[in-house]
Amino acid sequence: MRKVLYAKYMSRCMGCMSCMLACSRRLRNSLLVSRSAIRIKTKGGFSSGQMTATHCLGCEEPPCIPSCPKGALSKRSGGGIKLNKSLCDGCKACLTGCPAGAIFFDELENLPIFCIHCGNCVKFCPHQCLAIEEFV
Amino acid sequence: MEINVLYINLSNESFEIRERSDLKKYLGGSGLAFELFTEEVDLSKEPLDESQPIVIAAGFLAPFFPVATKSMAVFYSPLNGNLGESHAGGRLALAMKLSSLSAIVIKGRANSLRYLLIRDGQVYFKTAEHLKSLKATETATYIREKESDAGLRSILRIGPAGEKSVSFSSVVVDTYRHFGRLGLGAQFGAKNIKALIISGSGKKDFKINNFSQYRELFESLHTKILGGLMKKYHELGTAENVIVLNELKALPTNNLTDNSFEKISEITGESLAEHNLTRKFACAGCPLGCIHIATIRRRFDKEEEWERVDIAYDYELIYALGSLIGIGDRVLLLSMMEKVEEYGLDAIYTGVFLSYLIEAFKRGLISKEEILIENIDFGNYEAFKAVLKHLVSENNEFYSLARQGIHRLTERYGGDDFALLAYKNAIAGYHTGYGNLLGQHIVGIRNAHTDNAGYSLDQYMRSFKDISEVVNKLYEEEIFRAAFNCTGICLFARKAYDRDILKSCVNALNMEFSVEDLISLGEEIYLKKLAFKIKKGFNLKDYRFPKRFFETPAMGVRLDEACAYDGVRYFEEKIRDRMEKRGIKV
Repeated sequence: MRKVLYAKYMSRCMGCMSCMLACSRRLRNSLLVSRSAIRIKTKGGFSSGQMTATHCLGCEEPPCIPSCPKGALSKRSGGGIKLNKSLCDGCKACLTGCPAGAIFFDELENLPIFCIHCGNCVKFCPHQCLAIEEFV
Repeated sequence: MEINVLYINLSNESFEIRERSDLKKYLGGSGLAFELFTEEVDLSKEPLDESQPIVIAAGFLAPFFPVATKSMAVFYSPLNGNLGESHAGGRLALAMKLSSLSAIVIKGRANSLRYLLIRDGQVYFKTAEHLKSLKATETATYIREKESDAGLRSILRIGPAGEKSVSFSSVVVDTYRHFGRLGLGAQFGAKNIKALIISGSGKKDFKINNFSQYRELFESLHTKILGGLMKKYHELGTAENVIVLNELKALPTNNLTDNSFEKISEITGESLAEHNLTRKFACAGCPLGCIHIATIRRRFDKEEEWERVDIAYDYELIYALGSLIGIGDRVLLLSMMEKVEEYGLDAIYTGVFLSYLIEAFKRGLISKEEILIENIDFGNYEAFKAVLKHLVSENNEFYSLARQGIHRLTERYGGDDFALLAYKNAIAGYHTGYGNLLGQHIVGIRNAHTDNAGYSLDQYMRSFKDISEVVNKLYEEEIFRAAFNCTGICLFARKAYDRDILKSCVNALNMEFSVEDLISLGEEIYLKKLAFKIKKGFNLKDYRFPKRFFETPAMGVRLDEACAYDGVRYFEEKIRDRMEKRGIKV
């Protein structure tokens, strides 16, 4: 059973980026939203009225794992990915290996950014758009 | 934290970044922007001369604390021929910080219409010839498709009014926010800039001395803000005040010939929420979300052919494009907002312009031959639509003067006693009393209601022994706000960020300020701006309030002119004394 981050109610999203700020703040001790594992954007500007969230979907068989030439990625128990930093050389192959485009890259650490499905972003969303959801 | 300033010269398409740690004490936002502006402005030349600077500075705390979202623009206003300052939220501050920029200074004039792409400290000068005459929204659509960094960028753009240098044109920031006041849109137009895109990949992080302390402070403020302290801004939004001000008899109506509106029930915050509110948006870093979006469905053909239109609304727009011009129909009110947005105009000023025009027309000061329509009256949406179209396209004497501002029209046609201006800026939607009157006209540095919230002072200080009490309160609030506006915290959050909390937040980002330091900084910035304004012609001795403010009662009380002028004299003495003590000269 997977228990992972799920952007469940994006029609409620206000685009405040509290989730992104929370992720960078808690996981990277950083003020920069560019270091977050979740990305919020509009679908063609605010005038489109639609917001989207891009984040690791916690695939059952993650296609990003075999895309890593160094074998630095493995399944995280409960869903998501574990990164072995000592094996990663920052080649970015996993970024293209993720069909959801949900792996971002931390230029400052030269490492890919993986969501650890901790739920910290969920806690800071003021409109309950995000959830940690169990998928059977 | 470093102060990195990006200097752009449009004339020769060059740019450089300078580290300005010498300006560290101004933090960011309004204080930093004003200092940079005074370094660059050339007072011997006209406001729209190509040599004049546009300065945009991100608030020091934005977006690093909840509701710290603002960036401030300081420029030479083509509307008042004096200091121009306007604030906007959206994603601008966030994008600037991702590019490690504290401020941007833009000078010169592009040789053809351009949009600028600023990314990680690089500037790309791109043609915008294909975007000429497009609405601000359409402009962004084309740019969004073409450029990268979706979600981590901010797009500033002007509409046709800015291109035509209408002196009350705005700059739209990220669709629903604006540098609305005092004509920044015209400055963009005069420099041949249709749009500015700022993004960054976050190549450089900010080092914080005690990160866990910062995090704790952030999280406690997040909880506090969502705990109900600012509830009204999220629920009905500022539109909640429509019914309140109407009942107080303080809502300027029909060009302030009245103080409450008989057709109010359709255009209250409650009514809009019930019938049209479809979603809310927020600026980056604001968990509250005060941007209220209304949706209207509009039939565009006889058959079942419909279009959907989304429009952002708030209190000031309902006042300026509703009660002030006699619009009491919800759909027409939202359609007025849509029109103003399409042209890229300051909504408040546009309402005041139309309300002046209606009265001047009815009194026979301005003829139908001049305005090129048969008739104009309160509530006449079709006439308003036609006037706005002419405003950006006709070159007769009336519309040429109108583009320069209402004060130019009163010089030519008369009516300065019913033109609702506060030193050439249009008044915001309050007629509450002396606090509001003196706050907007005299004490307010931008002649805007957000300078010192005089309207709020009037509501809790219903009586006073001497007008000096009102002026002193306004002054105190103004200098606090001068410091507050360096941080970029939205003024809606002023109750959550008192002086002590403000100090703690500033210091969490590696500064060492006491509360007294912050207040002293606020006063220094305020007095310097005031000195600039006085030097450029803001003459307190000869200041004259339009009579209309004394004719229509404010919250049931007819204001006394003599008392208001006593307030002006007291303020003049007070600032003379404060300037002398602080060593600030005009």
